[in-house]
Amino acid sequence: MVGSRNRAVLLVLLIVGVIFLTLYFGGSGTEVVAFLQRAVLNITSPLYHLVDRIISPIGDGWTYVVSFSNMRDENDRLRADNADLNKRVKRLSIEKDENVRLRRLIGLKESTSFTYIPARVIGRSSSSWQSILIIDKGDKNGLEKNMPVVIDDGVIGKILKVGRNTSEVLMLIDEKSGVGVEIERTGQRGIVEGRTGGGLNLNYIPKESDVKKGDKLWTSGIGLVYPRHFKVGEVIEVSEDQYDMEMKIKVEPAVDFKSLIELLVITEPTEKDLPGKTVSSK
Amino acid sequence: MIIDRRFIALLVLGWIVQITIIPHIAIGPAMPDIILIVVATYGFLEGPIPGGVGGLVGGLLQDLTLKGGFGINLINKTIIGYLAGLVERNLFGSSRLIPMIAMFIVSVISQLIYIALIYIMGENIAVMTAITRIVIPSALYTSVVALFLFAPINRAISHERQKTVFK
Repeated sequence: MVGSRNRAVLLVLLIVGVIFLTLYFGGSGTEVVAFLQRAVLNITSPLYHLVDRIISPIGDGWTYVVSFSNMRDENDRLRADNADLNKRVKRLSIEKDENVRLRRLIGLKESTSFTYIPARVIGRSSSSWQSILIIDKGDKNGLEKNMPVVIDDGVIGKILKVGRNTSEVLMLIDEKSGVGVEIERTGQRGIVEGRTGGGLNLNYIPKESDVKKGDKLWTSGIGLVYPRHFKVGEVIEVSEDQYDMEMKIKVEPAVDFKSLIELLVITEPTEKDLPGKTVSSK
Repeated sequence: MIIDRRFIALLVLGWIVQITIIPHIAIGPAMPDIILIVVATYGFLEGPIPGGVGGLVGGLLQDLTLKGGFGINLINKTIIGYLAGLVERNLFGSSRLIPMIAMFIVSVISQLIYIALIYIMGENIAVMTAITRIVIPSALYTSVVALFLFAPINRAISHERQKTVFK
């Protein structure tokens, strides 16, 4: 008797859950859920700021202690990098002049910069299954859903949810992320998507395409979310399955997603950086 | 009342810890699930119906902060709370290891339910990678953290069982 009552209660509870899911995926509950989630993000925003203030100094101190022994090596490496960068700056300067001349020739507008807002990471997803960052800027600062988020090293992801003072960033390594890319060496295009447990895959590349380990991937601009020419990663493994139409390609992200602190939200990509139509945004 | 105010307060506290502090102590993709610990412990102590209802509330809180299908965590934690309530309570009096093992099993079940639900919702997931990289490490992490939380949760929820259920 008690057992059947228990089962009945469980059934009722599960029906409640299924109703929520059905409403959500049916579309009629999506706006209500978005409203509630935004409200929760606004309510919890001070907590994220507070915990960040407490934990950041501890984390910074720990990082300092851990990295102290590596400082000499790092110093040497930075000197070498500096020399290398100086050479590259000179080369880029020459290439830029050449680029300007070519642009003039084909009649393209020259546009050199984005409008962006710097932001700080103050939290991360509370689930192992999602790769989300919480940043300290929201719609008060002009942020909107789907704005691309980058750092010098490459693409981080895009804005998923915007609150008043905080926003959520869906990182590229999340399984629901996708970005249109171009292989630097061949110009072939594909889509990089997040992989279960972290990492990236390059998908939609037909079998026997010319892709090699070490190939560098850059955003193609297709998809109207991410601007062109931001680094996405490097191919680390290429394999083919005889029953598959496409190659299996693993990509090492250009960005170290674990150690992100400061990042940039691009609020206005220039027209030339978004050349295509929606493909990559999932 | 099926669930009491002390439990709700504990759940909200667990939820705040989950969203603010837990991401900072993640090991790779693995992190402990405090809501799961609170819900399952409540189920262990109070039985299947309070466990199920507690799971519903805990899952609802998680759904409010996580992306994806609204209701996935609600269904997941409801089942977990209910299942935890079916476990024989007397088992936990004898050693610290048994509740830890129970929490490990409950955590694995919870994540397998999650994989099943998102698969039903049409998401592709590399199941073996997910099990080795997320499910097992997270379940281990959760059960280790639970070891330190059983007794305080027990004390917070139910004073009279303080010394008889969890050592």
